[in-house]
Amino acid sequence: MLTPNRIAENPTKSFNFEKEPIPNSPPEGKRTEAMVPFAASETGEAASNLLYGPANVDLTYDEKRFQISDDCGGIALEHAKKEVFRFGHSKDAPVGQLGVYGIGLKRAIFKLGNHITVESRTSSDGFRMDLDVPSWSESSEWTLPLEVIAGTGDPETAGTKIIVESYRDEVAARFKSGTFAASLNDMIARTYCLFLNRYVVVRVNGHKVEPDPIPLGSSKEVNVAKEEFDDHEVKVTIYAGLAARNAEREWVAADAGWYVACNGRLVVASDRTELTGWGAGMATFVPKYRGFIGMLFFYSLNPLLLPWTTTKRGLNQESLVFQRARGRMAIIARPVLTFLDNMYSSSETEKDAQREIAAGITSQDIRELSRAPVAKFATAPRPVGEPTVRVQYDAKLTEMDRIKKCLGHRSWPASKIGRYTFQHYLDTECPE
Amino acid sequence: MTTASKSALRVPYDLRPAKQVERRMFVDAFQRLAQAGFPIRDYAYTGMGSIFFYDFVIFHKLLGINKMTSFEHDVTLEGRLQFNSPFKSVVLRMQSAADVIPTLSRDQKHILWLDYDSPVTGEILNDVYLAGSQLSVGSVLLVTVDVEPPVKGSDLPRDTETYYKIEAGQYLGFTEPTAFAKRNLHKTSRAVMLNALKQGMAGRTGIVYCPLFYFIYADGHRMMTLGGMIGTHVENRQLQSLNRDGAHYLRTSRNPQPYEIRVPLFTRKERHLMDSAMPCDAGWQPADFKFPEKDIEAYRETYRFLPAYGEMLL
Repeated sequence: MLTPNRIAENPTKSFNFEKEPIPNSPPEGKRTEAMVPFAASETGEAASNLLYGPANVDLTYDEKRFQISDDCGGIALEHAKKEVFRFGHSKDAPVGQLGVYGIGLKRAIFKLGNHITVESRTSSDGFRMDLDVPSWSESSEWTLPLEVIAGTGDPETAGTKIIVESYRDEVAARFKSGTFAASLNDMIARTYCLFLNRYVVVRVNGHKVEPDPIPLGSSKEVNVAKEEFDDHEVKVTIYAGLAARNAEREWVAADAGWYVACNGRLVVASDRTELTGWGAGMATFVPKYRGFIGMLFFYSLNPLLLPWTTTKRGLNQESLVFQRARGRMAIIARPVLTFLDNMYSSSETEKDAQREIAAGITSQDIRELSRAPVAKFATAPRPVGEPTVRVQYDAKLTEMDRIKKCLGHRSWPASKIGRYTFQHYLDTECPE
Repeated sequence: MTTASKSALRVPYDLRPAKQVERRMFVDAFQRLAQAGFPIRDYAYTGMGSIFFYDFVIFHKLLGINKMTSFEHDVTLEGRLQFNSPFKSVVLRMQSAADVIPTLSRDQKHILWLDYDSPVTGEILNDVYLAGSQLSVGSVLLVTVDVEPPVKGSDLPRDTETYYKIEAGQYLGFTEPTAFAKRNLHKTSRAVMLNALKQGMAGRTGIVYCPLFYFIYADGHRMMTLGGMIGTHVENRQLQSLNRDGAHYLRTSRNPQPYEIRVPLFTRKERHLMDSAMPCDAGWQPADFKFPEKDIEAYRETYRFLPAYGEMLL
């Protein structure tokens, strides 16, 4: 029988000097999602060296039991004793690029339920912790029981498994909610869109989570603006440009705006508020700007310098590096907004030249963008178009509604219906 | 001819004596900056030349500035602007300030004069924000706005306050009850523009705004210009060594009173008489008649900068 080890659970003094106080616990979906980066961050460097393809993280849950497991190499026993199960990090902890404050994982587990099992095996050693939280809380012990177990002997199967049972009441209610699955999927898809399927595959109850991509695009006629600067060990890269059109050849306002990532983790998605400068430095967001996509990346080997909150779910607006970036964001975005200003006449009809430019845009992979040089937003000059004539007529509302119903596009404005019906007749009755 | 709404085509620029005094004071100040070690001659000047380009003419001729860009949003004026451009070295851009400012090189020092003819708007504040973000260290920013009550047909403070809440929004901050009275609009306009500038400069560590100018004047509408340098403690120290002898118009403290440009009314003969006594002692009057004391005081302060107009019959 293996002798239990004890972990001294003394909060390290460095924790008291963290920048922000611990906020109120985040809602359930975010707690569950908080456990994913632990696996991804521990494997960050390993993943890039993996010969075996992306790492795997599997979440399974039902009304009684939650489990997350990965094949990311496992937590070494010594690391578990000295770092993972302490509150905060010690000063000489190896700096991980996603973990920052050393409490995210613990907070997530302890808030979920009353019975926790953590089992982790590297290829050489392993441990299991089986904790009944209420009993442990009542005891005067500040140590956590740890059982040493054998390693896997095979790096391919080394990994960690965490099981939580005996949910707290509010957690049980949330897991039962009809929208929980969708919101968990959406959050993982969005937050880790830059990692998913490239470095890690995440499955929730057996369903693979597909990344929610950022549709920033370019073409032969229009580029993506790029700027970068360094600020005290933080590398900042800013991109701005036009979105690729969706399947209906439209831009969607919900996708527009600024995306902000810290060390690859998205902390802000499709923001169209003052947070990222709309209405303060940039024009206020209006529907004609729905083709705008901006991306702001902060990268640092020291995650404490990044402008994210303790939950890693938001931006710390007081951060100096973020304030400096905001000024640059307004500058880089300006030519894109001017393009969109020029694209839409007052009747919301898109002008032909800009519409054709927009139609040719395809999504760009962020890895290609990162290799591109710094550049300002530019569109290739177009030859002067053919002369045009304006077509304008009145139509009965009932007849317009009939056409909209027939087309299945009730939300299209009259001008778009007119353009569509004109083009339809041209293509079908008057081929070239 | 399409009539543009700009004051360029409503107000003959070369007959705005207070505006000309302001330009000449800028030239005087930039000459002092050059004396203090700033390489003004190598600065790039970017402004809204209108069809008269008067600022371009005096900055080029009296300061030696060669890199010049004039921008104008009203594309219908392009032909006239090309025709009236005074020098080959002036680059014309038919774009708004918001489109020009992001293209100003960060490797070049600039004098950027945003010379608006309207009251403060959200767009103007965005331009100032962009300038705060983009302008390199050592650059000088000048912003001119109309400080009459902005709501047509009303000078009621409550209407002005509503306007400012919409246009200035978060830049308004805490305001005193009298902030929207007509006589105080220059102060309120300056305050919101400085807030927008500070916001644009936020995060640029070690960079401060060093104020230089705070003019108010009225050739027709009451106007206000604020101006200063974007700099570090190095530029700040250099500015302390500016020769201020005779430069009563400089405003370098944090919360100064504005310098009011008053152009007194004298005939050509009277000006010749007064010039021969300048700089005069306090209380001086001509021997044979009396001028209002305030006018003599204003003349003593501005005689070096006052334009003289004449008519040429060709």
